[in-house]
Amino acid sequence: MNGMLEAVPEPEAKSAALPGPRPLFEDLYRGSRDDLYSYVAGLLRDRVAAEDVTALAFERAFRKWDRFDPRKGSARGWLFGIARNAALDELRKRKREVPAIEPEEQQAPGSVAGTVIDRERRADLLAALGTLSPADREMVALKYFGGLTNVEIAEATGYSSTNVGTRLSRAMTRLRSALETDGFASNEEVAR
Amino acid sequence: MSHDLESESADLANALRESRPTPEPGFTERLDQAVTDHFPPEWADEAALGKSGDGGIGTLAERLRRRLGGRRALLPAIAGFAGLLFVVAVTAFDSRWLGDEPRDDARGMSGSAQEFSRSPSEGRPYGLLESSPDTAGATAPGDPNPATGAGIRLGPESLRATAGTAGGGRDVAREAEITLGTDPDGVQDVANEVVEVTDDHNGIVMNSNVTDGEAGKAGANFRLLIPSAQIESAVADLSGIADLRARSQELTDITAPTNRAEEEIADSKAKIQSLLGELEETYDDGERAAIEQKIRWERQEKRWAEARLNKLERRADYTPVALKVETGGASSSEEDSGWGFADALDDAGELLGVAAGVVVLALAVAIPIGIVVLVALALNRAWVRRSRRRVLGGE
Repeated sequence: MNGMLEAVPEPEAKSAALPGPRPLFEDLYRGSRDDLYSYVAGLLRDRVAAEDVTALAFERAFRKWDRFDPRKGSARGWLFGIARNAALDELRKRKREVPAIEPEEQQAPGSVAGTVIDRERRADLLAALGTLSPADREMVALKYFGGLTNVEIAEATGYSSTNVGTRLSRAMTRLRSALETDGFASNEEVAR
Repeated sequence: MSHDLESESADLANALRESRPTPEPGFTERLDQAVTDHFPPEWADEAALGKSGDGGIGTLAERLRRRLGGRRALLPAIAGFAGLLFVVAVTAFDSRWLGDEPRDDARGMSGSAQEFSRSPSEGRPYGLLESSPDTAGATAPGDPNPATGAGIRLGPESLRATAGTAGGGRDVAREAEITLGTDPDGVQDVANEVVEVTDDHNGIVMNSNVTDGEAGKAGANFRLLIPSAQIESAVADLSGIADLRARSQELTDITAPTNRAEEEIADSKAKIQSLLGELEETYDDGERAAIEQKIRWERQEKRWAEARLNKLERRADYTPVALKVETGGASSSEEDSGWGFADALDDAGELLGVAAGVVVLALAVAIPIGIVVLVALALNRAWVRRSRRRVLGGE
């Protein structure tokens, strides 16, 4: 972080999601940067492409920031909608599935995940995620990697909140089935 | 069972949250810097992005905008290019549509055959009305009374066709008026040239009057007779002597009075011949005296008719020209030679009219193109949305 961004107080993750006064772009950026990257990386399953798409999404959001209307939805939902379009365009451009993110590539120095979850179990979970359709994987990535609420997911995708809940439930069921039937580690093992 | 499922889902959700990909510190630092700098044009290169694509991130327009240094450089460039196109279009339009049109000022009126077709005093094309045998009456030339004659304005082509005798054997008489403008010092020179031109065309100076003095008072008046067969070239030459301020020609159909005079002459001859026959057979002095008196009256009638006919024939053969030389006024040569405020207003109005025409033409071209572009954009947008849905699994 540079000095200017550090001077901005760290916003609550959910504060940007609440409709209300227009937030500062820097606040939105700092509160969403890692979540957005996680979502894009989970959907694309390519670290380099995820960095490109994440950066491009923030640039587009910055250029369009004047057009953002807080009355129409949350800033995070709006931002993730931009990122979603960029990520889908990236998928369209490739027209092929990209290799899954390798667990060792995923580890960041001092990562909490690296100390809690065994690499092998994490690899099983990510591999099972890779077997899902892009639509299911997107729901999971938005919810658990991006940390969005169902309302924010609805704002980002254009689905209704009810539909988001249904799609998410279906995606989780398929993920669970993939973990059980494809010989991956059980959920309990993964969670342990 | 349900509790187990909920617990299992919660565990899976937690596992997912803990397994989520996290960005590398190097990337976040570069992105933080880009946000701090408000995404300058070179940010993507400095952040070492676009390694997975074909040399850049974003759409072609986004890459182009970054390459050109952002909107601040792009917009003036586009505006400048559009302005240049507009100027070129106006210039091309002006030369295409107005380049051959004679200017309606005194300089442009100085005596060529082409400029002869315009009357600066009336500001409308010369010779709009043509001779109509049905409406032309029989009268002395220049008689404005509709019951006895008709004053008819003709253009050069009509005059050429009716010189001396109108097409179809009709007799016509012409009159011309010319007003020239010059400086007080140039009045005498203009007067001399008027006489020379009249002589060159075998014309006659009936009378002339030259007045010296300051601008507005100095001037000259001429009454000329020009052979009708040369009236066109004579008027053109006279118009070119000085600045032409006004010019008009009038044509009168004299066929009817000419025919009537000829008929009266023929009748008189016949009557005289008849009276002479009676006189030969009459021997009474009283009766002979009465017949001789009738013969004298009839011969007098015949002479009057012949005089009228001669006068009509002279009117057909010669055209009277009233030429006036003026000084002062708005169109003297010195003032006309300069480019003044009125000329600037005229030119500005003309330019605005051309610009408006170009705008209308541009809109006529741009609107259909714009509609096509909008439809193409809408179709592309729909196609992109559909492609995105298809990427997500054929939704």
